[in-house]
Amino acid sequence: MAVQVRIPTPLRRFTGGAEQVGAAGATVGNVVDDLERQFPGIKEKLCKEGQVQRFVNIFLNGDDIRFLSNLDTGVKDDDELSIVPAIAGG
Amino acid sequence: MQVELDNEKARAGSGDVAARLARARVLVIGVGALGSPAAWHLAAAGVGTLLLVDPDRVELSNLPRQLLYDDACIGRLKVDCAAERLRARFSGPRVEVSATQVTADNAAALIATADFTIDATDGARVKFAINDAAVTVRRPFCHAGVLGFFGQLLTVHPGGGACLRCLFPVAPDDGEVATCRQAGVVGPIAGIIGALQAAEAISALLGEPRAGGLLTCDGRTGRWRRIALRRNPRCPLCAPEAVEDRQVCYGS
Repeated sequence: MAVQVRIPTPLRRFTGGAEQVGAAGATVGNVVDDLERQFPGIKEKLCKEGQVQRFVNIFLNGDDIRFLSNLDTGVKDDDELSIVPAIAGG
Repeated sequence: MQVELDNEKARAGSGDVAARLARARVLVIGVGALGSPAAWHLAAAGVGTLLLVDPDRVELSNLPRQLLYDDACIGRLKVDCAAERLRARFSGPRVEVSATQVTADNAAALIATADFTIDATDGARVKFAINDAAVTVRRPFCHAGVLGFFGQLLTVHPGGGACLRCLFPVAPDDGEVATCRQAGVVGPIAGIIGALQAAEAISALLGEPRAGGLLTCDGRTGRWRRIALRRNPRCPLCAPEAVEDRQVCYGS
């Protein structure tokens, strides 16, 4: 499945500045793996030991994947994933 | 005369609006890049009492984005300089100061004294301490964070929508999430978000809270997004069954 992934500002250094990229996969986890294939180094900012990093949230079409099936959540064509990090500056 | 005219403008609208704001007490934790515009707009709007809390002293590097300060403030306590500026500019509000660091140990007592709290701090751990305390003592507050050209804001009302722990059940360590001191922020972005925090406070004080959700601002693309958030039924802080374990979560 081909989905659109919104990349937050702190991670755009991996995507060459792109705020939205396409990625493929049947599940959110697969999509993250595809992001890693395209943009090496990004996965460790998103996942650790098979779980979403504790300072990152992933939304599928506006739903927090922790309310769904986490990284096993299925995705379909044209779904939108948003990555929302904790932002602590002030 | 100038100050009187400003106060008249600030109090435009019904007398009830002005009276409500004049009775209110707002806590601003952090008087830096976010807290400077937030405190300014609250004072201008006629909020009756502002309590400014910040342990830091003004540094030269603060000046481009912490607009309450100038060269003469360098080395002085931020809360003292901020209070002087606000008192000189606005005759209305009473400005109280506390040059202390907010932690899990003192946050609840502070927040419980206020009608609304603005989290304008620079650091992950203190932001979660504020969230935990505000939820525990059931006081509304506005969380915000800025970095580079990006900012996001979440207002939490007691018994209302998601809190910060609904999003991030385990608080990141300070080293895992960059602060403005470490990574910088574009001043205008902090200005916008800090001003919005004041707007959130004013809305809440007038009994007209905003729609809710996480509001994000990308200053590079000009794109604003609102991400609707649901309370996490397994939130370690605000889920009903979490009450007994709340102290385990608080500040950790």
